[in-house]
Amino acid sequence: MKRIILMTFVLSLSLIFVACSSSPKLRLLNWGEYINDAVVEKFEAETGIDLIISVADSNELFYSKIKSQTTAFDLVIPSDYMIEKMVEEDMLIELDYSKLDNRAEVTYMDGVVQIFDSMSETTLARSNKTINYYDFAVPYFWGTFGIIYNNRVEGLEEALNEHGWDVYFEADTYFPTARRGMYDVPQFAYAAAMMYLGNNPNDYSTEYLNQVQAVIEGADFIEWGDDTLKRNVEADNLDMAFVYTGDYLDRLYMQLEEGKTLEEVRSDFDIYIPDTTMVFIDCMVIPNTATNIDGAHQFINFLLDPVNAALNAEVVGYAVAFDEAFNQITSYLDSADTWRHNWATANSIYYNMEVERTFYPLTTLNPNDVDAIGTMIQNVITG
Amino acid sequence: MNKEFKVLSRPYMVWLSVLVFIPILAMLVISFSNLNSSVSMSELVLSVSHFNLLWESSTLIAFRNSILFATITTFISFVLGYFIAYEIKLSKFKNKFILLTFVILPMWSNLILRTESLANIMSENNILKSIIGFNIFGNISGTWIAVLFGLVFTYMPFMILSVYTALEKIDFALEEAALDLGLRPIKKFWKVVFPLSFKGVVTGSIMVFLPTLAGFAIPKILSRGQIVFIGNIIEQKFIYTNYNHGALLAVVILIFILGSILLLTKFDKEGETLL
Repeated sequence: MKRIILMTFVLSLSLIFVACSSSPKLRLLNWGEYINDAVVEKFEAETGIDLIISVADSNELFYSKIKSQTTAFDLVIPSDYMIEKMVEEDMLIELDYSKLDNRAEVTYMDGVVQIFDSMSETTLARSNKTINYYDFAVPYFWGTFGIIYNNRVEGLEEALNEHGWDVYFEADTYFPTARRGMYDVPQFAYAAAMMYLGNNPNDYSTEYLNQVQAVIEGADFIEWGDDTLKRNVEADNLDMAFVYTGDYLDRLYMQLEEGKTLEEVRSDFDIYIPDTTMVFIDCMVIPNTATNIDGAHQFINFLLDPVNAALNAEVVGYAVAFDEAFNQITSYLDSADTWRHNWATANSIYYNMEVERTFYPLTTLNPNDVDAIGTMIQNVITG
Repeated sequence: MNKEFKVLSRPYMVWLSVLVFIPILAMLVISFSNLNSSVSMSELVLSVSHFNLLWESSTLIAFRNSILFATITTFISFVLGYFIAYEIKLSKFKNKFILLTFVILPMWSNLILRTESLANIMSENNILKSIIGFNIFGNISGTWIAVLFGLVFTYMPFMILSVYTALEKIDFALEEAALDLGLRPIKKFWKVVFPLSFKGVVTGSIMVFLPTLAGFAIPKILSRGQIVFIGNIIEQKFIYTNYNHGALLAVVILIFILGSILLLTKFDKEGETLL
């Protein structure tokens, strides 16, 4: 008996030793399906660092995982408002740009610069502090929000292009029978309604809250979902929904891979991006619990290489953050490879940077306001 | 020998106190105070300001929905499930284990997966429609019928199993005696079989009622986010890190659960049934 116990002990110990190979590790906390495996392999081959990826599905989870310090993550990819919150609570370390040689080689896209500026502005307004977010964050992906719509509904496309937000929110006037859906993230619903009303989605007051409630009630939403929204529009079970542009591209890429042409997919369902819309940015930041700070810089520098950034974008439907990477993707417009050609076309249509747009990244509201918005949405749903 | 049993029961007792009792205590503290991630222990104040939440219309409606759906689901599961259990008991089929296996067959697949597929075939355009050309369920996705169907479909096996266990325990001699003494079979059922199996019905009801009351995934998926249970509100509160509100609502649910367990002990003094 003793011998068996001893044997198991030795065996499990040896297993543990095998699992801990000697190469240095980099612990990345990321969103699900948000990195190209080819990028991981290339990075590991070039640097000899073992990239260990953990996944969480909300910014709030990122926050609590770092705050609780159960795992010392070296690198996290949170969104704009969460970066503001993390900086405010001193959870991030400043980047050392001397270790990021590739930064000089790339130009951030106009939209990205707009978002960084707007983050600094809202921080200044909220807490009277001047913070340069470039000191803490390097963009990973960014993207707009839009209204995904069912193109099988006659006239919907034209109406959206002409009247924009009104078509989505005024169910009495436009397409009373259209099936409308909304993300079950209360702040998204609030922001969308605020933009329809012509306000800044980051402003909050009780008066605005009441107006927004009336607007959302008027939209007659039949679904409050998440990833289900894009799939339901695709399957002709929903006609309009406010989603990430990347949500649309994700389904588009999927159908292209199944052999449909771009025109076929677009005639089934498409996305309309309003002139005033919400944007998000996800950035790489280093939490102050990090143990491999050098490795984290190496990873950031690796993704500042436009070739690697473009490679990463091949499986993720969001927009790359650098002009050089975007130009590389759109250079495939003349490519003989159908997938690359479609990919380039999609990027140049949906992330078209020629169009002048007003971008609003969401800021971090104070917890009481977030709660009031949440309760208001619940009241609309149950009402 | 007794001592060894005691030692063996210890791991679970430790597990129970560390992962159940202490968290419940923490939940109580959080729901009756201002404690959250930005308030330190020393600033802890007894606070009932968030109790306003309980009178918010959405909270009341969510409670009503949870209780209403849990009650109806339990009743339907009882009516339909009892007779399936009775059929299995009466069946001449030698291997009843196989019949019971059929009952729990749906549980072999993941709950979320099963519910998502149910939501899919309940919607207007779905995979089945493209194969067979018409909708089996009509277009009920997003309605209360869809939610009720999903709940009954998911939880009825619990009712069947506990009723069946109770039915199997009934001594056949009693039934024979009833018939010998001149009762017609239908009367025998009501006077002998049903009362003796009632404990199984109570256990089954608890096992259907509780998860339905506290659940949130099935209503969320099948109602397309339109029918809100109290579990959905708790989920939202925890996602947006409002632990005070979340804990408060969870404590209220806990009171309901304790209440129904007390109800159970009233019917089941000897603790014979499954719970």
